[in-house]
Amino acid sequence: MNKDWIRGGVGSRAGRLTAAAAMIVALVVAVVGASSASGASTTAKAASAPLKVAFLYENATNDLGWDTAMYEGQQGVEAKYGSKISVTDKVVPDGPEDVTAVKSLVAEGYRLIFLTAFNQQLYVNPEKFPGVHIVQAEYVGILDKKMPSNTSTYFTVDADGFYLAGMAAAAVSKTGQVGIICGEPISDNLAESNGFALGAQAVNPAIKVRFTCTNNWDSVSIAQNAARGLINAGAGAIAFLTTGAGPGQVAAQKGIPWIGYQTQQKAVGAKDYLAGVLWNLKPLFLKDTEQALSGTWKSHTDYVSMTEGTTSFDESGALWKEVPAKVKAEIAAKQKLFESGKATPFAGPLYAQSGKLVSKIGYSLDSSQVTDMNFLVKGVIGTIPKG
Amino acid sequence: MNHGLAIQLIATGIFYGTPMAIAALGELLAERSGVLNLGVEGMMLMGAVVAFWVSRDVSGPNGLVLIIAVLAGAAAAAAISLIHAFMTITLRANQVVSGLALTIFAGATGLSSYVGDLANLGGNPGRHIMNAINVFGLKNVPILGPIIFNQPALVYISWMIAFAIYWYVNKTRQGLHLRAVGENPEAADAMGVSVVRYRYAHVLMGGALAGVGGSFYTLVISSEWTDGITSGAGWIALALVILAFWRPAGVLAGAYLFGVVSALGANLSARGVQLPPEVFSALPYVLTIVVLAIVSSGWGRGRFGAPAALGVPYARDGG
Repeated sequence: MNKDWIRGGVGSRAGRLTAAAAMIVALVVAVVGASSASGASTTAKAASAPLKVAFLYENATNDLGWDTAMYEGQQGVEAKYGSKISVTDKVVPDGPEDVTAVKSLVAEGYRLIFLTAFNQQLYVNPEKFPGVHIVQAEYVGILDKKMPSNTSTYFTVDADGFYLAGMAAAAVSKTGQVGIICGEPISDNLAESNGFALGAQAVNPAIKVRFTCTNNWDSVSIAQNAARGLINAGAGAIAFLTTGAGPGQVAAQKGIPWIGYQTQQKAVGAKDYLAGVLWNLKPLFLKDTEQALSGTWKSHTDYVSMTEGTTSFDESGALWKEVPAKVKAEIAAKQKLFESGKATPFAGPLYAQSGKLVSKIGYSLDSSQVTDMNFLVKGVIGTIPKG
Repeated sequence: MNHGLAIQLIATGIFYGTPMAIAALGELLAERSGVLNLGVEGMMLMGAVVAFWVSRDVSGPNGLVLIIAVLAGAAAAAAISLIHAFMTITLRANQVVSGLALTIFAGATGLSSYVGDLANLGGNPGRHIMNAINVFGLKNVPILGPIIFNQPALVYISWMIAFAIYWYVNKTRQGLHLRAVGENPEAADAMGVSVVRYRYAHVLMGGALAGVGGSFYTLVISSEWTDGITSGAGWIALALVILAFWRPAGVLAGAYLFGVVSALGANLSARGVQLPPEVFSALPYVLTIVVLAIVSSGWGRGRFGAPAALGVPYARDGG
């Protein structure tokens, strides 16, 4: 894997040099590639060459966040399909370079391309390039029905995982307050923040839940500053929805219990690690690879959580022992209900922050109300920033 | 009560102000010797990237790794400042031009970025972060607990540095020599003080402290490396030296004012007050402009001036 020529960044001096060198290399490759392309495509089928699968990352694959979770999925795919596939991976920063990267992967013959949640919707014209399958995490264009027929997406909606985390956080907070950092105020993050708040309130109805939004997914510094803001305001346990483990380090710096997210992050602040909401994207990637290999691949949109088995609740924290036995039992019971799909975090009566009743007793929000969520629940201190 | 906004803003203001304070204390030393070094931002970035690199790749107990990382950051930045010292003291080049060149060379799009790419530091989680110390177990004491008794070690070290510099400049023979070199190098030379040696030593000290300030960003405030992570703190440090009229206590006070402004956004947001983040990001720079406008007005200039020989190369023959 050679990340460096992509990661250099055109702004830096070194970047400019490498960019220039890369352009020359790309030109040479393009010329050589074009002259051999026609021959390659005719022989490909006869020899039943392995399916070329690519994984495109936005951050380093050891970021302990989204990219690491995705990379674990990649390793699962490689382990299962072995020589039936040929896999490459690249790290491309968000921005114009990601379009170029997808184009060149397609030109190099990659037919199944997994993308992390890049800000822009990346797609390949299905008519021009038949047989190319794109799987982009959280392809927001699906909401406007603008997703091309050769593109699939999945959304991780961890309201259930964060409900359990909220229960544990409220149980160990010594200040009667907990806090959560949201990345951008999209429906997923609001649902997860609300899940966290409802779980905390289920354990301690008087708990104060602080919510802050950074308007940024990737900056560790910004997320860490937000964590400091929450802890300063009195949050006695924190969770975060931004990528990477930065806020966990700040919590450990201040001796405050914290909830990990996406991947096992406890190493960055083990003594104060309470619990984690962990992803397992492997089943999703295996399904796509299987279908691409057998020629049955069709565009699909998945909303996944504990019910689908792609999220698990990690109780291996050093502080888990501080959770009272009664709360542990309640968490275990809820977890079972979530995993079997018999309950959702959004059971009525449910009130919005404004006091408005959004779900009556005996009802729950339906899935579209969760995927379109645009409010905070009652008792949350914080405001949703305007887009 | 210790979670009240005012107390937390002061506590966090000290925290965020510390890297600017340390860098400004270094610049104060260089300027007191008569050498203006506009390369603070570049030196801070070198300190930040090298410290982060060391903290990621050196294994050992947290405290030890952090000490090595801070020292490595200081050494890297001092090495960069040596270029400035050579250019301006030995070759007697224009200090403004050399300093600016230093920031461009080492800055966000230069060497620090290159080192970050070379060691593949971007997007990597840091493995060590400096924890707050619960001094004498007093962190929960009302008001003073969070402000004074629960900060990371570098904050306390910055206080010692500020006091040491005050003592050195005002109470020691070497400090007297330093002031003479900065105010009237001919007289100092006539007294038998080596202007060249003093200037080299203080420019290097300034570089080392800028590196320590930079390392605060990647070891204490955050635990990541991104290009230009100091985001202008070096320029603020330069303004601070002027704002403080070249006095260490003033540097600390000014830095904490900037720190409070930097802390405002996240602290208000956690209390339910959401304002556009751009406003908060811009505030420290707006404050810099306001402060510089005030101190360079007739009122400010009349009071405490810069070292008289600041910015003027020294040559024994007058050339």
